[in-house]
Amino acid sequence: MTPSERFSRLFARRKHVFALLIALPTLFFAWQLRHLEIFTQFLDLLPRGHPFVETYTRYRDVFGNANTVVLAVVARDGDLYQTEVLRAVERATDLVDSSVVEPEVNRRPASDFVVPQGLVARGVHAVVNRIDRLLAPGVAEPGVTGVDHALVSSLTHLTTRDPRVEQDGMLVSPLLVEEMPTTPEQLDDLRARVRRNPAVFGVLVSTDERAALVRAGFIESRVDYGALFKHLQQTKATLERDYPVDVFITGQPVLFGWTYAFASELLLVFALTVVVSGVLLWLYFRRLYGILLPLSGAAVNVVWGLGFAAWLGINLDPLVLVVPMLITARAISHSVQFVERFYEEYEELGDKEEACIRSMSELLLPGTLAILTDALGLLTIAVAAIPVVRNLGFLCAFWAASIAITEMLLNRLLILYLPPPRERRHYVPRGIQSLLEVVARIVSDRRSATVVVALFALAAAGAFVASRRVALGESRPGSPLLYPESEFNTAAEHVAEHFFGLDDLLVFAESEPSGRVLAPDTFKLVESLQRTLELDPEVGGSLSLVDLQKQTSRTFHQNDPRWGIWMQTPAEIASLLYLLEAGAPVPGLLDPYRTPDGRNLAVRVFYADKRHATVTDAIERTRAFAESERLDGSLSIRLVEPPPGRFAWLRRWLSPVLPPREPELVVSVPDPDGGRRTLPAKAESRSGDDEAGSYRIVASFADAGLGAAAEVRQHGRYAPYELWVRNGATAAWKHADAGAFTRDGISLRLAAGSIGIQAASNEAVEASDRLALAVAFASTFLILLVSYRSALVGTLMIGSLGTAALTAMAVQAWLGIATDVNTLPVQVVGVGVGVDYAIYVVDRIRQEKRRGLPLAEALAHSVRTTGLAVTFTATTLVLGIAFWIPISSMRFSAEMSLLLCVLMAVNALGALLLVPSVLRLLPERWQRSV
Amino acid sequence: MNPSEIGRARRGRGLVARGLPAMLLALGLVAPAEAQIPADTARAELLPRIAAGTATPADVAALRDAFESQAALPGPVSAFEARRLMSDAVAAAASSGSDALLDAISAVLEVYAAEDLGEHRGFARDQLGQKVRCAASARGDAARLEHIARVLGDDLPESRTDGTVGDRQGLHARADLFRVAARGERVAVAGYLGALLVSSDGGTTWSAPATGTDEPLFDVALGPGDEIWAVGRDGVVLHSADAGARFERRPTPFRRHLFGVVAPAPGSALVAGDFGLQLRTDDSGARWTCLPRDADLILSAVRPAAKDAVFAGEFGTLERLQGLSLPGRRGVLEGVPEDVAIHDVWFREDGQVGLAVGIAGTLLRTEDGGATWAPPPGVRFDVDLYGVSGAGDAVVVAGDGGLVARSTDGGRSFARAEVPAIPAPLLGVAFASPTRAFVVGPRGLVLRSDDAGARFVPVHGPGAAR
Repeated sequence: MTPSERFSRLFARRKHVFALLIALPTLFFAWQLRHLEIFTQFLDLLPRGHPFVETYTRYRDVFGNANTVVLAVVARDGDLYQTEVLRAVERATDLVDSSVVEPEVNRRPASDFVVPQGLVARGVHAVVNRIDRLLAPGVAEPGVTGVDHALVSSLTHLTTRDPRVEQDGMLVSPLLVEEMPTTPEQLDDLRARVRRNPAVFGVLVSTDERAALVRAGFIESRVDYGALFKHLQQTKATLERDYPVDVFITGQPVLFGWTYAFASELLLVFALTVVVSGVLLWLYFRRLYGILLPLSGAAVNVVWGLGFAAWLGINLDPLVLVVPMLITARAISHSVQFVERFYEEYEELGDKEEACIRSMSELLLPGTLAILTDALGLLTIAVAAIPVVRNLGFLCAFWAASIAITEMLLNRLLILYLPPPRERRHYVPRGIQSLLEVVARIVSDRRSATVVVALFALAAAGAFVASRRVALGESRPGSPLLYPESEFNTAAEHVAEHFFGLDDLLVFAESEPSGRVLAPDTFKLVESLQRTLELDPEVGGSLSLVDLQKQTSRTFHQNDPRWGIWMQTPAEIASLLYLLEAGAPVPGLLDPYRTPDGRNLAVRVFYADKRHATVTDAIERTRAFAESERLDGSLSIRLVEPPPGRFAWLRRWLSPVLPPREPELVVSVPDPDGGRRTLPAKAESRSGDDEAGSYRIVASFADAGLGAAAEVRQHGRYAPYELWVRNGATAAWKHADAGAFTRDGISLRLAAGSIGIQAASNEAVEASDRLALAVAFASTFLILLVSYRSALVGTLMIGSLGTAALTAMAVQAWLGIATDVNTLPVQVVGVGVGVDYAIYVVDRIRQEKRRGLPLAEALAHSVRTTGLAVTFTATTLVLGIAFWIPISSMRFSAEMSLLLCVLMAVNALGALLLVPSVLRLLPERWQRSV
Repeated sequence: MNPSEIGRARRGRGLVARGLPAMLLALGLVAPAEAQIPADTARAELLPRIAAGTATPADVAALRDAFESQAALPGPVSAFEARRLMSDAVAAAASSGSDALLDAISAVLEVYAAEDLGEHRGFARDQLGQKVRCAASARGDAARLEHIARVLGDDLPESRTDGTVGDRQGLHARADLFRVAARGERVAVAGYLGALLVSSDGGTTWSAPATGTDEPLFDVALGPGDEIWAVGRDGVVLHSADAGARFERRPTPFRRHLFGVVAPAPGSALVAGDFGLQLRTDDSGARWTCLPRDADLILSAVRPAAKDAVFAGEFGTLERLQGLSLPGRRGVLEGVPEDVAIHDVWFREDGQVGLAVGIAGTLLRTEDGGATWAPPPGVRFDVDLYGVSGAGDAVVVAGDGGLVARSTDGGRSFARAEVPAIPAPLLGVAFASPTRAFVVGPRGLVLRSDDAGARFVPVHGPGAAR
C-alpha cells in the first residue's frame, strides 16, 4: 500500500474527525470576514524603503504630496478673462477647499455619479447602480474630504498673491484677484498681472489663457476616496450647470474614486462568473456532484482566503480583486480533476467509498504537488518591496495552499457523506470526447508529435521575441487602468491640452547649515537645474523660489525683465524674500518653496505625462546634473556609485537578491589652487548596532577634520547613508548628518512628486517582476525534481509553463499593456495558473505506464481520461471570465482577464499536446526515467 | 531737500535701501525723520571746499561726524540723507583732482567697509567700488585700483578652465534673450546665463560660443569689422575680435550691472550701467575711463545718435553725449516726465529724429536731436515697452505680452506687427538692413522680419523650423 492510499483509507475511516477539522477553521474565517475592508491605501502602493519614497515621506507634509487632485475650469467660449468664468474658478476653489461632503451627496452610491456611454455600458451600469443602492446605500452623514488646506492653490485662492511696488517703494502683495473684475479694463489688467506672475502663468492659468487650474493635496490618512469622488463629481456638475465652463478633474485620488465607482461592477461580474461556471459544469458532468463539489469547495476556499486577509488586517485593493478570481479558478480546476476521476473510478468499481478512496489516493500526489508549486510561486511575489504586492503574496500563498484542505479534502468528505450517484456510467460529452480522440492520435504518432513540438517551439520563439517589447511603467498618458475614452482619461487629456505638465518632479536642494540654501550659488545651481531640465521636450516648465525672487527683483526695478536675476549676496536674497513675505497678510506664502529654516529648497518641474520613458529620462537627467554640477563645501563626503561594468545587465537582473554594490567613498577638501583634494578613506563592510537598530558600515576614515574617526553607516538596504563621527577614541558615536554628505555644500536630493513616485515604483516593479518570474519557475522545477526524481519531468513542465507565460507576455506587448504595480501581481499569479494541468497529465501517464501500458497507449489513454478534466476546467474558466472583456468598464479588468484566458488556454494546450508529444519523441533510454 | 529729491534718492538706490526702510516706516516701527538735519549744514559748508580741493583733514573729520550723527538719527530718510551727503562728498573729492583728499575720504570708507557687521559696510563698499574706483581709473591710477580691490577682496575671479554651467549643460540656445544687434548678415544676441548667440548668415543658422561666464549678458553691440562687445551683470564685459568665434573677458574695475554698450570705433566701446555708470575704453577694454556722476540711477541703454551717444535710464533720463568722448556735454531734456523709466532709445541715422520707450507704454519722440521730447499724438500702448529700433522711417517697438508694433513714418503712428502669439515680454529690437529686423524674447526666441517689421517669424527657439 502506498502512503497516499494509506492516508486515503485513514481519511475515509475517520471522516467525522476530518469534517470537524475543516469546519472549525471555516467558521473562524467566516467570523473574521466582518473585519474585511476593501479600500486603497496610497502609501501601500509605494515601494517601502526606496530612496525616492523616503524623500517623499520626508517632505510631503512640507512641500505637498503626490495625492493631488487637479481640477481644470475651461471657458466654453472665448478665454478665461470673463467675469462669469472667473466666478466659476472662485466657486470651484471654494468647493475643492471644502472639508465636508454634503450628506445628500454622500448618501448616493459612487456609481450614481458615473455617466455611461454605449449600450453595453449603460445596461451594465443600470444593474450596477441597482446593486449599489441595495448593498451600499451610503451614509447620510456629512463625509470628510481630507483636503489639506495648506496645499490648495488656484488663481483666486488666498495664497495667490500679486507682489508689486507702490509709488513710495513699498512692496505689497495683495490678492491676485482682489475684486472680481467686471469691466474690460479690469479684465485686461488681470490678464497682464497674471502673465507677469511665474507662480501663476502656465501653472494655474494655461498659456493659451482659456483654462484655470485648482490644485489640492489630500491627507492620505484622512481621505475617503469614495466620498471625495462623489464630492468632486457633484462639484463638476454644479459648476457646469451654473457657469459657462467645462470642468475636467484628474489626479490620483480621482482615479481611486473611479475604481471605487466600478467596484460593484466587479461583484456583478464575479457573480456572473459563478453562474456561467455552474452552467458549464452541468453541461459537462450532467451530475449533481459535478456542480456541487467544485462550487462548494470554491465557496469555502473564498471564505478561508478572505477571512485570512481580514484576520491579518490586509486591506483588499479594489484593483487586485482579480487575483482572488484566479485562486478560485484554481480551486475549481483541482476539484474538477477529482470529480472526473471519481466518476471514472465509480464507473469501474461501482462502489462510492472505494471509488472515492481510489481516486483520492491516485490524485493525492499530483494534487498536493500542484498546490504546493502554486503556493510557493505565489509566495515569491512577496519579494517585492511594494507593500500592497507583498501582502498579496502572503495572502495568495496561504489562499492557494488552503486549496489542499478546502477542495481536496472537503470534496472527498462531501462524497463520503452524500448518497452515491444514481447512475453508474459517467457522462462524457460527445464532442469533447471525439476531439480528445484526435489529440490522443496526434500525440501517439511520432510524425504528428514532431509537428506539434515544432509548432510549439516556433510559437515560443515568436512569443519570446514579441515579449521583449513589454513596456514597463505606464506606457500611455492618463491611467492605463481605464479605457482611453473613459471620463477620467478624457479629462486628463483635456487638462494636458491646456496645461503642459500635470505630473511633477520634485527635487530638493539641501544643506546642513540653516539658511545656507538662500545663497547666490545655491540659487544658481537650482536655476541651472531648472533650465537644464527644461531642455527636455517633455517638460512644460518649472517653479522654484528662484523664480519668485527673480520676479520680485524685476518688480522692484521698473518691471525690466533684465532685472529678473538672482541677487548677488545672501543678505539681498534674504531681504527680498522677507519683503515678499511681509507684503502679504497670509502666513506661509513661501512654504511651498522652502523650509523656514533655510535648509531645503524645493524645485518643481512639470512633465507632460509619466510614461516610463519620460520618467526614466527625467531621473537620469536630474542625476547627471546633480553629479556634474555639485556644490561641494569645505568638506565633502560623497558616496559615488561605481561604474556598472561588463556584467551590468546580469547584475540588474539579479539586483534584488545580490548584496547592494559598495559605493566608493570620496572625501575631499578644497585645494589652495582651486581644485579639490581627495582624502584617504577606507571602504569596508562591517555591521553593528546602535539605538536606531542594526546597520552596515559602508566605509570609515580617520581624521578628516570631523573628529577622531568617522563612519558611513546604513540602516537597512534602502536607507539613506548616514555619517557618524566621534571625537575621541572612546567617545560615543554621533550622527553627523543624514543622507546628504556635504557639510557646507549643497546636495540635490531626488526625488518626489508624481514623477519621483512613479520612478520608485517602476524600479521596484522592474526588480520584482523578473525575479518573481524566475523564482516561480525555479521553485516549480525544484519541487517537481524532488517529487518525481526526474529532471526531465521538471524541464517538460517548465517548457509548457514557459510557453504559456511567453505567449501571455507577447499578447501583453501586442496590446501595449505595461507592467506596473497593478499588473505585476496578476502576471505573477497568472504564471502558475494551469501548472496543474501538466502535472495531472504527467502523473496519469506515469500511473498508466506503471500499470504496464506501452508508452504510446499510456499517452493516448491519459489524454482521453485526464485530458477530459483538463478540457473541462480550461473551457469552464476561460468562458467564465471571457465575458469580462466586453462588459468591464475598467480596461484593467478586461485586459487582465484576457491575459488569464490566454494563459489558461495555452497551458491546457501544452498539457494536452506538448507534454505527451515531447514524451513520445524522447529516446527509449530517457523515457524510462519518466 | 524737497520731498521729490528724497524720493528720487530712495528709488535710485539698491532695493534693500529702498523698500525695507520705507516699509518699516509705514509699519510704524520707526519714527519719521527729525526736522533738524546735521547733513544740511555739512552740505552747505564742507562740500564746496571739498569740490575745490581745499578741504583740510579737519574738514574730513567733520564730514565723518556729520555723516555718522545724521545716520544715527531715527528714520530711514535721515539714513538716506547721510548716505547722500557722503556720496556727494566722494564725488566732489573725485572731481577735485586732489589725491590727498580722495585718500582721506577713501580711508574713512575703508574703515566702514572693513567692519564685519557695521551698518555702513555695504554703502562704503559700494562707494569705494564705484566712485573711488571711477576716479582712480579716470586718472589711470593703477595703484589705487589695486588697493581697493584688495580692500574689498573682490578681485575678478580667474576664468574657470572647465567651462560654465551654461556651456556644460548646453543652456545657451534656450536662454531668455535680452538684446540683439545686427548689421547686414551678422547678428548677435545676448541673454541669460552667459548666453551669446551669433549668426553670420542673417539669422538662418546660429552658434552659441563659449562665453566663459554664467552672468546674464544684458546688451550686445557690433563694432567695426569683426568686433563684438557684450556686457552683463557684475561688471562683465566680453569682447570678440573674430565675429564671435571666441569671446574674451575684459576686466573692468566695476562690479555693477552693465546694461548698455555701443562700439563706435575699432577697439573702443561706451558702456552704461547701474549706479549711473558711464564707461569708455579705447584699447579694447584694457583700460577704462568713467564719467563720475552725482546721481545714482540705473542707466538701461546707450545707443548711437549720428556722431554722438544717447544714454537712457530711470527717472526720465535721456542724455545726449556730444562727440562720444567722456566726459561729454549733457543734452537738454524737455518734455520727459520724471517718473518714468526709459528702457531703450533709438535715433535715426541723421541723429535728429529719435524714439524712446519705457515703462507703462511710455513712448516719446524727438525731432530735434533729443532737445525736446513728446509722445506722438494718437499713439497709445498699455504695456511696458522694452525695445525700439529702426532704419530710416521704419521703426519697430517691442514690449510686454508679446507686443510688437511697427511704424512706417518714423514713429508718428504705429500698427501691430504680425507675430506669433507669445504671452511673454519681448525685449530687444534691431535692424540689420532697411528691410530686415530682429526681435528677441524668452527661451531662445529670435523673430525675424524681411519686410521692415510687418511680419515676424521665429528663426531660433520655440516655433522655429529646424
